[in-house]
Amino acid sequence: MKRIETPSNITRSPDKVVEDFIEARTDLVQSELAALSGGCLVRRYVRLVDLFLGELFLSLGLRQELSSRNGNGGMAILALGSYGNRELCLGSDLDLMVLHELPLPRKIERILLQMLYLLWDAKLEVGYTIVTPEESKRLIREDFGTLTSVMNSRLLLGSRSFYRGFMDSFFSDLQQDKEDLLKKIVLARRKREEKYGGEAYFIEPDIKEGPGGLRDFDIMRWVARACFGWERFTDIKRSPVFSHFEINKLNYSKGFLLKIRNLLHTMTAGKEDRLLLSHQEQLARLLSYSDSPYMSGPSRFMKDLYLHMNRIRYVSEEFLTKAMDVISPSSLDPVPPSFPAEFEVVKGNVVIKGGSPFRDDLILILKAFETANERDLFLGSGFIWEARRKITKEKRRLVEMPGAKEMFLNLIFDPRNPKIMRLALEIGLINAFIPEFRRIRNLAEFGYYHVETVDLHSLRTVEILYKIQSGAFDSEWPLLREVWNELKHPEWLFLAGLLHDIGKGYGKGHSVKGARKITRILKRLGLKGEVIKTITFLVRYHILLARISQRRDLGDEKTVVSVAQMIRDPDLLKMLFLLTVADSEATGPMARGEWKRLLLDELYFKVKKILEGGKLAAPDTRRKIAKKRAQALNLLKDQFPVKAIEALINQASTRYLMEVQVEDIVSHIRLALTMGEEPYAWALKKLQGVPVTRVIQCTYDRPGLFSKMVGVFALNNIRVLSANIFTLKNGLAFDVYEVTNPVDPYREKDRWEKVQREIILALEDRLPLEQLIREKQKGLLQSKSYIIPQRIKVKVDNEVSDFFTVIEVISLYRPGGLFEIAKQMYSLGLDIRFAKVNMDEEKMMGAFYVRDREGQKIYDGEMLRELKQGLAQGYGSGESYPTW
Amino acid sequence: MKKIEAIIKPFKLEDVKEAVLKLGVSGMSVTEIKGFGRQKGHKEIYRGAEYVVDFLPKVKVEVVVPAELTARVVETIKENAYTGQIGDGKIFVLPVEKAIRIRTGEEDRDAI
Repeated sequence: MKRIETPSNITRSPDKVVEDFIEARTDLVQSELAALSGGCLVRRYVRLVDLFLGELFLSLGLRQELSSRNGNGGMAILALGSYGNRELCLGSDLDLMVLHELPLPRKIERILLQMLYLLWDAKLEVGYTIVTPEESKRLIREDFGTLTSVMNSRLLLGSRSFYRGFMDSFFSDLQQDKEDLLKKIVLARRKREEKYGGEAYFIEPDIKEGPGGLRDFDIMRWVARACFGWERFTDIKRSPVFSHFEINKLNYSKGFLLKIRNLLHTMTAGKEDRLLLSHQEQLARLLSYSDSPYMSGPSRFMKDLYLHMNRIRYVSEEFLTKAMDVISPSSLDPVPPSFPAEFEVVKGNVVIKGGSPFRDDLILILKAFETANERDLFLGSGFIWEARRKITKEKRRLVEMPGAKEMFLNLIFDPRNPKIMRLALEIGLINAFIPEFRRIRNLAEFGYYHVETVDLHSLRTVEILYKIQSGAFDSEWPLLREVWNELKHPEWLFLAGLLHDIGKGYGKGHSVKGARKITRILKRLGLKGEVIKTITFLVRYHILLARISQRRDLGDEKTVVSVAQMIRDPDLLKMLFLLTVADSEATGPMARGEWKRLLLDELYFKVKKILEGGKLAAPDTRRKIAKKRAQALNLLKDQFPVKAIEALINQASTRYLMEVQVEDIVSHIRLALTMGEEPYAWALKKLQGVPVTRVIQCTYDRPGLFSKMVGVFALNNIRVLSANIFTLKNGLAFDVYEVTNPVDPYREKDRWEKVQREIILALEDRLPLEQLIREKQKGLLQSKSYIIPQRIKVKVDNEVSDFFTVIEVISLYRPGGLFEIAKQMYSLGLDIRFAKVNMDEEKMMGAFYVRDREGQKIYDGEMLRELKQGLAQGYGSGESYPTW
Repeated sequence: MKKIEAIIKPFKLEDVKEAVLKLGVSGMSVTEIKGFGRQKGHKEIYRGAEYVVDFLPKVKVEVVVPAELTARVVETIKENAYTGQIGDGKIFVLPVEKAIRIRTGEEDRDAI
């Protein structure tokens, strides 16, 4: 067999070529990655790969083989996809296609195989196909991905005329049915948006496939090439339809994304395209985004990223719409009845009549928005572009036009078309009328709790308020619309929804800071009087109800009364309630949830009752208790001797009788009178409409009971939501825990039995709880990419309750965390009587009503400091998360 | 390095594969297997002996990944293999001591 001849005196050996390439690439990455612009780096890298392949072809003898094949059928090696396009990123796949007319000779096949190995050895991810033109056409027809990657192809080696012929026929096939192609492209884009546009991807966007990612740029290029025959994207400027496109800005945005993508590929040593929180944090540091007084470094970085992605997203959308218009121009839609004379409708978009541009009549912008809003239409892309330009240049004049402010407010007061609201934000209309909005534009709050940037979250809040108004929540939460219908000025709520987080652009304490801005903003919009007072109040207290309902004992009358004293007016309460609902629904999955809804409802009703009763004081407790006693007695007297029942009730505290519902009191007494010698007895009640079980338990009180309970629940993946602990004078503990249901609905019964067994073991100190919990924590797989380093926070409130000190602890979430806190408190001699706990994947928030051993409130600063220190030591410090 | 073994429902294989590859995992092994877990098959007595008649068809996916990728791969498999029904499968994470690519002799990270 003949040896493959490699003219080693002129060229280097293939292995040496690979070695040199790896070195050159490492060099490029180390010296230039952070310094070069994205576009520049990518060009340098592609040149490097081109040279590398060229030398490989030579040193493997492939170039010589191919050039000696004249007359033996065409053959060509093509670069496809991003490599073909000269936009290869460091971790991207290198896609190659070997196109051959006649069956490949053995020898060439062998060389190709050898080449493949060498490419792998060079750490390139290679995708390759070896096909005849017919086979490739079949692939192109069947697979959209192949089609688009061939569109970007270029010749690396082989017969130029053969390649030309192939591409000419490829493009002429495409040109046959441009409309069909465009439809396919639009469809593929929509599919991508469905997959990568969801809530989870908003905080951690995919910069290639996500909305506004690099793929959107590709799409424009495909359309330009395939539908209009422009070889370079900049050629679109030649067409009057696209002449206004700001290619430079667009290229800048693309360069930004390319740079980020390359950094990301290097950081992850792979082809990661999703910008996880951990990457965001690293990149912000790498690119020197430092913290500002109002914004953290990562937030500033993400603000830029969203700006660029939004730009690419909206320009590509506009581009596609325009392209569609050119390829299949459609006639006007029939003019709807009583349609404003200035406009007409094309494909569901409002445009200026006769297609003429509007000159100085800026009011037309608002009028078009109004028209589109009312009739569920959108605006034409040319109109949008022109409106955007006008708003940028002449926002002052626009705002001061007679009637402008009223029209803007009307839009806000009737936000029926979310797409139009979003457009108003995108083209700067909202910023023009509310300049303070600029601060929250694209402002990301670093973390998983808030799904969207603050500006979009504000719009989403408005959207949800509108949904409440239009009955979208009627089946799952009918109360909302009932409350809505009682409002005197429901439309004010939309404005409050839009502005509720405006303070977030001004640093910490956003509700106070936001409320201070409201008067100015609203006066500027021409509003005065009661509306200003109302909205200021709503913005100031928009987190009050959520906070109190999730962190305070709603059974304690004093809590409810103090909320009522703060709000004072039933109508304000209703508005605040609805704003709270919309705000949390709009925030993200961590903020909503049936349990939180239930707590909020409870607080709402309790405060409402007080406000409507007309007196801001707790009702007569004595009468209430007497009534409850009588009811309980009545329910139990057929089963047990009245004397025994009364004896037990007499042991109970006033707080117990005040806070616990009659049916739970009945359960407690029944358990106590039937448990006999058992150390522990419980009754489980599944709550309606929420995945929560109420554990009503009876046992003998003992030190550390609470921590043992939460420890056993944690071991069994059951989360404690609230605990109400009462000790009778005879030493019995009548407790009420509310906990999440076991995770496996198929095996609930088994799980509860196990929990009960373990509780009894724990009570008898026969379960090594600490050790078991430590083991559980050790095996923890941290699925979130990044945990915001959070110092443990301990707040103390001696005002809210007459009998207890309320200690709020905020810390990172980890399984068993509550157990550790409870243990810590116990060791300091704190007696927990009520706890309300709120956890998500990010943090744990617990409010603990405690007393000291003598039953007094805690005024001892030293002890609180000790508590804080102890918690921080065991908890907040470095070793909390094992990383794999 | 960790080896992740996931036993999943066969019709979820495509979703799992696609999603895992996107994370930069460069290869995986897939085996068709049969077995049962908590869901069991049903038992039958045949001529006095007890038989489990119903081994259920499953697919086993195996990938070896650098340690720091473990959590994300596990999470991704979980998301993509989930139906909420009994028999969604299981994921095991095992330590891997050594990996060697036979052709080149590369080791560990370079070999996976």
